[in-house]
Amino acid sequence: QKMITGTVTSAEDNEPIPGANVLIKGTASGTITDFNGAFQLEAADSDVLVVSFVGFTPQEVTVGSQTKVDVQLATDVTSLEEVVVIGYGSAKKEDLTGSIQSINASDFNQGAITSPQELLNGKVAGVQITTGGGAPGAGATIRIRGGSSLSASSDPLIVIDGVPIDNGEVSGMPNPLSTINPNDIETFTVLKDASATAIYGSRASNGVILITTKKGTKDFTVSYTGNVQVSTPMNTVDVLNASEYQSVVNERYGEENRYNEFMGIAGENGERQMYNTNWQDQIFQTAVSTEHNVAVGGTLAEVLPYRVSVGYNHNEGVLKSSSMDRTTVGVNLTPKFFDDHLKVSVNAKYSNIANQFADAGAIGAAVAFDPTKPIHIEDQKYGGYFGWEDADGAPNILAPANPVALLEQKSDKSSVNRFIGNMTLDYKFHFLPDLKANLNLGYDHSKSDGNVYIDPLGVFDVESFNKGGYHSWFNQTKKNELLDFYLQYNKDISAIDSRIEVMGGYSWQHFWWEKLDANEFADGTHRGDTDVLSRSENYLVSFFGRANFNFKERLNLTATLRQDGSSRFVGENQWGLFPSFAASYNFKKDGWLKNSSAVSSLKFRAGWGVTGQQDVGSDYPAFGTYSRGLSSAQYVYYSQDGVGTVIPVNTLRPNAYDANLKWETTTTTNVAFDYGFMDEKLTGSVDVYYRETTDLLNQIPVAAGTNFRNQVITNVGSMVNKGVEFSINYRAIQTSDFNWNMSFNATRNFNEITKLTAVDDPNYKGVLTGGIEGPTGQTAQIHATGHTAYSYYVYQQVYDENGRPLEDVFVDRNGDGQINEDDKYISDKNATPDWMLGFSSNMTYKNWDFSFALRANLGVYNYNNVASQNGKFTNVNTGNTFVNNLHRDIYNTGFNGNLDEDRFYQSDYFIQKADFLRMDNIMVGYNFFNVMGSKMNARVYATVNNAFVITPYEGIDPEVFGGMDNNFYPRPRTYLLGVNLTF
Amino acid sequence: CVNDLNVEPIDPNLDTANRIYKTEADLAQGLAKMYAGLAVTGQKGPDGDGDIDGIDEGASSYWRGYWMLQQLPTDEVLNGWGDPGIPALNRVNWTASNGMVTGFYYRIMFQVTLANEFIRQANNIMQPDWQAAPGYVAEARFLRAFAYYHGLENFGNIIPKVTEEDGVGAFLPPSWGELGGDELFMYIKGELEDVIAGDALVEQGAVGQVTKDVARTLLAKMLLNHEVILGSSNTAFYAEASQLLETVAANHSLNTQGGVNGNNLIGGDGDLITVNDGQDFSAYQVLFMADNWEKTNEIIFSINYHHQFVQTWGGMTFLVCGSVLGGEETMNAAEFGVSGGWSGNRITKTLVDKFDRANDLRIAENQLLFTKNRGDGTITELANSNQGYGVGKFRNLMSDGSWAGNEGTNERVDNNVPVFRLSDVYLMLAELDLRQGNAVSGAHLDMINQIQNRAGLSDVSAGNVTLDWLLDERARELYWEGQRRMDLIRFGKFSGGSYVWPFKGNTVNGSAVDAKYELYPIPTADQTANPNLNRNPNY
Repeated sequence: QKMITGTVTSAEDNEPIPGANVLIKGTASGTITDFNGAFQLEAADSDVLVVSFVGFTPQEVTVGSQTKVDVQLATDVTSLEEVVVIGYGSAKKEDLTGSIQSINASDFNQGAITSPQELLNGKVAGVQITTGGGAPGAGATIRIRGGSSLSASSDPLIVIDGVPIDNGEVSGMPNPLSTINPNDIETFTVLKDASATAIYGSRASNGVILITTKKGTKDFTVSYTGNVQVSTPMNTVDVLNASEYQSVVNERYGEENRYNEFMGIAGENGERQMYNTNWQDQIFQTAVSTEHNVAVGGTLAEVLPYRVSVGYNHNEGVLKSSSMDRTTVGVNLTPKFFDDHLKVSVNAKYSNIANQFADAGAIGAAVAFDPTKPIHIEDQKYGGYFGWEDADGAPNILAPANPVALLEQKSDKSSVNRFIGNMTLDYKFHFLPDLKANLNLGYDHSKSDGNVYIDPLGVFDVESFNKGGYHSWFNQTKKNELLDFYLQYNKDISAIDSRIEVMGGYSWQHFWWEKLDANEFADGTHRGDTDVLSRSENYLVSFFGRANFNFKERLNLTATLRQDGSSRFVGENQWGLFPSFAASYNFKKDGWLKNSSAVSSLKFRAGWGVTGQQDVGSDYPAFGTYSRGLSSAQYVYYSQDGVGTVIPVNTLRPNAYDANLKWETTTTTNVAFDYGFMDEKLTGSVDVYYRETTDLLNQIPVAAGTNFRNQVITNVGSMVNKGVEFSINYRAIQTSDFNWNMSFNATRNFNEITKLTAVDDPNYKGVLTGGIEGPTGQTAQIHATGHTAYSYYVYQQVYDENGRPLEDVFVDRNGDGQINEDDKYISDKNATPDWMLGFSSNMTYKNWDFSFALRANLGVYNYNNVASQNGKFTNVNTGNTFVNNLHRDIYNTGFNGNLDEDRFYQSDYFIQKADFLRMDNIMVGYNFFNVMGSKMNARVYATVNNAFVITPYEGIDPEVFGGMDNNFYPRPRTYLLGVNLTF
Repeated sequence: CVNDLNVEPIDPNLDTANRIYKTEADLAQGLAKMYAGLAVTGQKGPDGDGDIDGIDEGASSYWRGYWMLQQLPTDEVLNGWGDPGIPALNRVNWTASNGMVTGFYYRIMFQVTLANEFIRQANNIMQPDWQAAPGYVAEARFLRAFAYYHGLENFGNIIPKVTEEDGVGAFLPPSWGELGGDELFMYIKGELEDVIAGDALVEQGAVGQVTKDVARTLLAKMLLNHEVILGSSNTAFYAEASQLLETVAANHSLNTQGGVNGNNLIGGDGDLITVNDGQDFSAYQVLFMADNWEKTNEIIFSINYHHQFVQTWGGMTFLVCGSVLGGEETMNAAEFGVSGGWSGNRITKTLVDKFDRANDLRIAENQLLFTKNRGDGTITELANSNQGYGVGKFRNLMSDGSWAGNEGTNERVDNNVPVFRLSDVYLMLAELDLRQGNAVSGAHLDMINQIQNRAGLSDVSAGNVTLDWLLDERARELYWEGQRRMDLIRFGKFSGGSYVWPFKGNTVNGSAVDAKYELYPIPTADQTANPNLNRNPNY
């Protein structure tokens, strides 16, 4: 052993690199360079030093006789050498022919992240992730290139460590992905075009997201991350305060109006006693959350790399009484046997989530509730809460609930246990190392249960109140079993300077679930039915193969084929065939570009393929089945004997089906360039795609009398998504002290339904969708041929010369002298954005780092249902014994709302521009190396999530998936202080 | 493992036809779905597994839809809700995209399709020794004729023709025929005559079950309306109708038994409330209350409800809750046996003015008509629920004033919807006399005076019984019972401008409307799906 000293510098500018790792190979001992890039450590002549630092290519130096080892690290331009997971295997990034984007942990979004998909938001061109709101663990809608299905699911397939998971909801868990601890995730790989996804066949039409979790490391490491978060509501709906409210009502109805009698509460002398309650302030809170994760990794006895992680997250919502507590345990074992011929990977993820849901109805109730009312009153009839009554003093079923009572007198809790495990055996044949066999066994099991209790005095549920309280509960079990097997053959054929890879396999997957729903009022009666057991399953059996051909490291050809069989269909329709072909050409390897210093990489990709979708919700859509009616939907006869004995009879209903139902197919063509300039300082891609879905699974009206339902899911229609995606990464500055990386992506997607029904009929407008809250059964959107899915379908508002909307005056678009359904039109203002932009920046200076991520949607419109529901005087003039508050929009409109209610809600006045620029997160961090001379590194950081939103939209949050904005749980602004420790 | 793809449902409530239909009892459940199709909206009460798409589930109820189409475009009722299509029904200016019209059209065709499937399955498994099953098939044929008749009177002879001969799946049925043709009329007539003549259908059954008298009444009603439907008159049809109704009248008698208001109810607030200001329920009123199953002497056919077993937002729940006007001390929901009112249906001033309000028990103040804080009952703004009087004809209390099954705790009711009532039969008999060119017969005049006397009114003379009087009398006796649209059409008062009422023709005071509104259009959705359907040329 001797003392070695040395410095580590950057090869590019000779600047010292502080914080670089210097390790003795094969051991856990080593050190870290100081501010001057200098290090010292004891080593033997035979030792090899491994010097590494983020952004540089690691270097190994044999000590030998040296006592001074100076190392120059080269900038890492090897990202092209990166290995990327793809379906059933992996590939060098350089060889990819498809549109695949991989996001590593270092690029993830930062800060308060409770669900995996938030890590990815805004990072990948063509991927739109819209969280369902600010509730803890809220779900998110993911759309890749606009979504290619209408009635079938448009969610991408998500594969975790090789196990395709069931996208369906786990009861008690609004977001199935939130059972995964984001801290355990190593990479996301997004497969976008058919060349990449077609290997997943019938589930690939809407893209595939592959998630891999962190694995064991060679050296023993312990890391801890922890943080504390403070969330505050960002915005509230603009409603009137008590004095504004009273004066608006007095102005509209005169000082002596009868609505004053409903305001405030009766004082001692019969006077009305007015309060000024800001109901929204009363239901929202500043929430404090914490998170702790410990991970231990290493290699046991030099043969068993392992990683064990334990995480705990307590997440409070800004809506009072909402919270989520998550405990996760992850174990990854990746041993190798027989000289690395057999690689075993065992992944086990367990999570327990305890949810406490707040009734989100409180948000709408707080907007509408009379601001002159107190929260609490002396009368204990309703537990001390104010509640609206009929004239005779009985609870009023039409009035809004006291929002605070709704949060405090209702308990809604669920507990979810989920295990996702798989074992992969990857065997390289001893006699033929070019041949590999891979077996993957997976199991995804969840068990959840939940309970809702309503306080006996909770008057917001009148039946419960009348019956002394209510309890409902459920439990659900889901099982998803997987078996995959494939053989892979790789061969270098040096004679023709080529490489081939052929893979073929089989996959079997079984999805099964069972659920029990029960309820009981305190008097022993039930709401509807109780103890209702339901159960379903489906199977997917597949054969798949892929062939890659590489010529002279510059031309790559890929072909894939998958044959899928689904139990959802019958007969020959059970099977579908999904091929793809793609090619890429790497110009940089050509002579003319080889020596270019400006262009460091240039690759052309083109691919074509067919994918499918079969997830129509029901497991038996092609079967003639009968549903037994529940006991609450029977028919009764009464006996004729004068006693009137009730004779209930259960019912049998034949269900609609389409025996010829089959997969919908999406054909995708993708053409792209990947480029790099100035030694890969500037890299990026441009993708152009065209996707056409045919045999679109669509729920459409069928000829009356021919089926057991008026609308049936059938293969009819077609839809096109076309678009362009740009991504640019720029390493603006790269020195040993100061690094600055930026990345930008932009997506423009055009969606058009090109065929909707079997027969084109100009009188038929389309399938109505986009339900409006408030009135019954109204809609504001339509799926129509020649238009974007979810287009707004509304009346055209007429305005006076001052730009004020004239109530119930609409443009008579067909000129027949009256205004009716035939005057509605399809707006060109869309609920989906024209442009989606993402920008992130990452800066490090010595021990400091600073990053932020911005995201923008442009050319998007919402239907402001909050304004349409509350911005009208019938909120005051209810014709009932209660009054509601008014939306501030009343100052702009003066709407009464007592003319025809269907037209009122369907005015295009309520279609409002919802472009936004959102600062998703800002982070600043400081790194301590070798704290107090120990091996411990520490990092302290602070982030602000959702720091600001710039938008012309007047609703509470412009970002609402689908555009129908009502009762939205607002996304909070979250401040986070965190620490990472590694040993 | 490839064989795993061939699955059978594993849900306890889901099965395939060949596993589900084995015995007569199984057939009874298939038949019950057709009855339930009139009463509830799906396989889960009150909602959650509906039968019809594209419409709010509660609004997809057979009787709620039928009622909306028969009542809203008439002189009897206005409803201010914003459900797509309701305002246009009130205004008599609907289009082929009207949501309520579309929903009801699909509901009746659903009933027809259910019947076709049931008859097919029953014929498949029928055993020679089965006693009950032939009756089930006869009931199913009646229920199909019932739905078809509603299709005929609302949409005309151009609705799709499907029978048990047709299968399930991708085919395009033809229209029955041209608008005004008699194909569907003759088919319904044949089906009804068949089940009346056969021995499968019972003369007397359980309450709610289809009997021969039910079939006779439906057939007579269609025959009475034949001129409107076919566009030409055939006196033989009137004679046949009279004959059928005489049989029904002979088997029934008018209810004269009122209710005793002995009980004081405890309202939801725990306070004692007194029903009806201390008055009794009249013999007319109890026909629409929660124990009206007892009134089989008068109610010939009813759609049955039960607060626990037959739960829905449509049907009778809609009639009770939808008619209770909330607040303003107008109507007290507890006195109607429900936990709250929905502030929907309001009576037109036109109808109120047809009554002798001081004496006619059928509109007794504060029992059946509610006017407090509501001025003179004029409605000028549809969605202004402060306007218009309330009607409490449908009341979910027992006739002794006690709670019905739900004890006032929710919106589930026990009253049955009277579909055919004897007083309707009496009034039809008198009308048939006149339509056959005769004066009203003595026996029929006596029947009319039974109705008058029960309403607290004195006898009328034969000379008073004119067609105009009968039209008004039908309004007074049968208001809000789903009869009005066809009555107005049959008497020539529906379209045109000779008779107007508020909101007719899209004006507050009422104005003329085109004759095309005497039929509803085939919904655009089905015209698109089935190019064989002749479009109603007027739309």
